[in-house]
Amino acid sequence: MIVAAVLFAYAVLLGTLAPRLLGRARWTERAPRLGIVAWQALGVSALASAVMAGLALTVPTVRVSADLAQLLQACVMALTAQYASPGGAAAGAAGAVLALAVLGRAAWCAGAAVLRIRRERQEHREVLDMVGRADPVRGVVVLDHDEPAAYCLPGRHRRTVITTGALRTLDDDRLDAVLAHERAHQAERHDAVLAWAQTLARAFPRVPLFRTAETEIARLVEMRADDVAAARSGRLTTAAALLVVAGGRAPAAAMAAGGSTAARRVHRLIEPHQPLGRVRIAAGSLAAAVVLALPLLVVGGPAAVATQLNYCPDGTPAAQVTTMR
Amino acid sequence: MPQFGELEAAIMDAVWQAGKPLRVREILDRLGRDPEPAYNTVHTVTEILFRKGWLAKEKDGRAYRYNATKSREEYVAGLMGEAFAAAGDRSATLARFVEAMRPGEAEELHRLLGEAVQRETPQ
Repeated sequence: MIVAAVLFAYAVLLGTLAPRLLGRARWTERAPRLGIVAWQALGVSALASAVMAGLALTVPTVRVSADLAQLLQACVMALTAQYASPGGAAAGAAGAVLALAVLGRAAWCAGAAVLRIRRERQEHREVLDMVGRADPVRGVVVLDHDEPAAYCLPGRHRRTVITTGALRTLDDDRLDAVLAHERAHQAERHDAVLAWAQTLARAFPRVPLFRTAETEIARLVEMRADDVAAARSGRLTTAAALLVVAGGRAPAAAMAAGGSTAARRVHRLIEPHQPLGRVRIAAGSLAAAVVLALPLLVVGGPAAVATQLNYCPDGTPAAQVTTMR
Repeated sequence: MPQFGELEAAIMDAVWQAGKPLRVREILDRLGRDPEPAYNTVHTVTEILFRKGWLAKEKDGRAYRYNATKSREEYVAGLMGEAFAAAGDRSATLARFVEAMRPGEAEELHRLLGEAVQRETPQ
């Protein structure tokens, strides 16, 4: 019961408080890859804690002993004891519902998203292969269109698409930056990262963590790809390429208040580059690992401690105790 | 059938360029391929394109004339619409290089970028 309460409280804390803290942090823009990992760790950890809280209510914790028969007997006794009382049975049922609902909803939404994305990509690719011109030298598909634009169709049959308008306005260096950016998306499977973030946000739309994580991850994968392109083509060249492609299009009617992500990305490339230091990257990675491991420790901790207890009757020779473990 | 995919695109190109309904024989003449594909192959692939909805056909004497249901520009516009849909729905399906900026932002950034470039290039 205590384990379940702790896990549930942890999940709620991650779901509500964590997005406010990490969302305000400025270091994520200086280390976008670590930022992505941090948001992912928070999401997975919140999901896992909620599921395990449900399981902890359903299955009473039993002290682990080395003797299998004893363990099974203890299990059966604990289970019958819990489900004999109406309160215990109700808690068990509620826990099972919680765990199954959270897990089922996440799995269902993930499956639906995978199918939808695959279908949309295939439809898009069929039209693209018909109307686009393959440019084997640059490894891109060219579309006859006046507005400068570039995008990629990820997946197994991936395509990098660029319009004639973009080819006309970008010089070779800038075009190189655009292509490096798209290749970074594909090499680091940013489409899968985004799909998972979107799935969580849609499966549990009321959880602030998943909402914030989706928008933050979408922003950070772009900055990460910008960094890869900048390492190859230079930061100012990449900024110029962004400006050419973004500035040549009419802005969408509905756009979020405040500056656009595109403008922030260009700003970031123009400003002096200050990547996060190694020590801080290591500390951040460690923190992400702890966030991930915490729910497992809460469940596994008492069990691990229990294995160290001596269940043997008094008077058993010490040597025998060690072998029994 | 990858080789069909290429022929499909070539047939659509021929029909789009002609800008009028074509018979299979006319399509074959306009393909300008070496070696020239068999009439039956082109006929089959043209029928496939009709069934997929890319081509419409009308009776002309004993044969059919095929025409594109939509212009190439309309298809391109559709693709661009999908790639830059305002809703974030498709962002996992496609990854765009950059979304549009507000009108004022681009000018300001152009100015900042110009300054930064000048700082970097020693006079």
